[in-house]
Amino acid sequence: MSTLHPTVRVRTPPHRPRSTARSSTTTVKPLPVTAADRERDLLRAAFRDLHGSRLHGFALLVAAGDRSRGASAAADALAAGAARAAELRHPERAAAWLRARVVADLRRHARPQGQLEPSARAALAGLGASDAVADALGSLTVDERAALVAAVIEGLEPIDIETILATTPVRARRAVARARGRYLQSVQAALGALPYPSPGALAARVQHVAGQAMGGTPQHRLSTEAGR
Amino acid sequence: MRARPRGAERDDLHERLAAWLAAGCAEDPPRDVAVHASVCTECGIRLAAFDGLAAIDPGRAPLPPSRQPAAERALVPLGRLASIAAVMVLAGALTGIAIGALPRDGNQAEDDSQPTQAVLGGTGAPSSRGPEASGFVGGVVAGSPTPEAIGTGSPGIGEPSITPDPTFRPSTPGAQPTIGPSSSASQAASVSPTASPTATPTASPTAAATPAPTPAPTPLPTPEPTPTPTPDPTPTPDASLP
Repeated sequence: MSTLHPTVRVRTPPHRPRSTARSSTTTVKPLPVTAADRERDLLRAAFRDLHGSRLHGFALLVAAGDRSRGASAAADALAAGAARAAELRHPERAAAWLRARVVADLRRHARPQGQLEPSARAALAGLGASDAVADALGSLTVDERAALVAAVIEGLEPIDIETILATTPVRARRAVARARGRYLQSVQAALGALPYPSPGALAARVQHVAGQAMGGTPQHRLSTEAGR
Repeated sequence: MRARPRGAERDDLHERLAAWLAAGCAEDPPRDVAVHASVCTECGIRLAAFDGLAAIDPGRAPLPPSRQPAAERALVPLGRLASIAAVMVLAGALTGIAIGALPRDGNQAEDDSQPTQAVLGGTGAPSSRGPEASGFVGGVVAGSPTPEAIGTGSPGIGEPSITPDPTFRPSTPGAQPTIGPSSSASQAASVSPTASPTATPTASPTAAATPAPTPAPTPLPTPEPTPTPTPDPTPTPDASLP
């Protein structure tokens, strides 16, 4: 090749006349972005937007407010999931698959339970957790936190919890019950020392049932005791 | 007035509420449990504990930092290692080339490091380079008398005395001024063969050590085997070595 041009040139076929040989060299341009590539990128972006925030929140909760570990685990899982987004046969199970990766990652680098640091409390408070709830979450193990968050906070299906905990259905059910009990034991003392909280959705539901049982308006004992 | 069940019945209601909570609260609680929980402080705390969990929204978290997939990320350190290895190989090749370009004769550098010897020893003679220079240095050390023996107080081997000895000139008329007061012909010959054409190789260095420059043939011309392949024209016996 006599040309030093950086682009690739194709030689003229020999049967062409010499006069047109110089102008017949064609420049091969880089391949344009195909529709498949564009679709793949869009799918990855959509996958990331769909799962990113909640997965990060799940990782923060399971990591007991450790921002760096939670973000790292969530980012790794999300990157792996986005790369294989086109291969998903059951997209409705992608959330469990992502959380399973997060739990496996955090389980490998588990830290001993203990008193939460202020930064961890702040991270959990950003998600809506009070100090008492944050401390109670910090006293659980990674598996217990994962079971509690997946079952109670996120309300995932039992089959998803099995996937997240990588265990059998029976063991997953037991794990969730044990996590609830452990959480209850941990948070009870902290909440008992605090002023009585305003009734939440669950308490209101119980009062509604109690009011129906008594045949009248439900007794809002919890609200009356709020001023004590 | 609070309506509190007593004894085992109350404990049973606590346990039933806890069981309902642990089961996931999928259905409404039994009515008696609900009535008890609505007036029981302990059960109210339990309900508040799970209400605290329900207040948590994981969707409030921001998006995690974007990362490449693990397979792509694993290639990055490989590329770095390859580049580092290439740089090291290139540096090694350049070093080898540079070492190969150096002169093989290490005495040349030694000669260059002591220019005074070439100047002083080669006065009136062409500068000694190469094997002759090495022979010269060896000759000075071996054949020349020690400065202590002469008494001129020369600083050392590398800096020969320049104090001329008047008694030396008549004995060696053909000898050129050399580095030592008792520079014999053999020394001059060892410096450069052309420096003193009239120098007789029979002059021994032991004779030069004496104040009287009478050339006396040494009875013991013990030629010390010098391994240096210097083409010394006169294999001077090394008598001044300690």
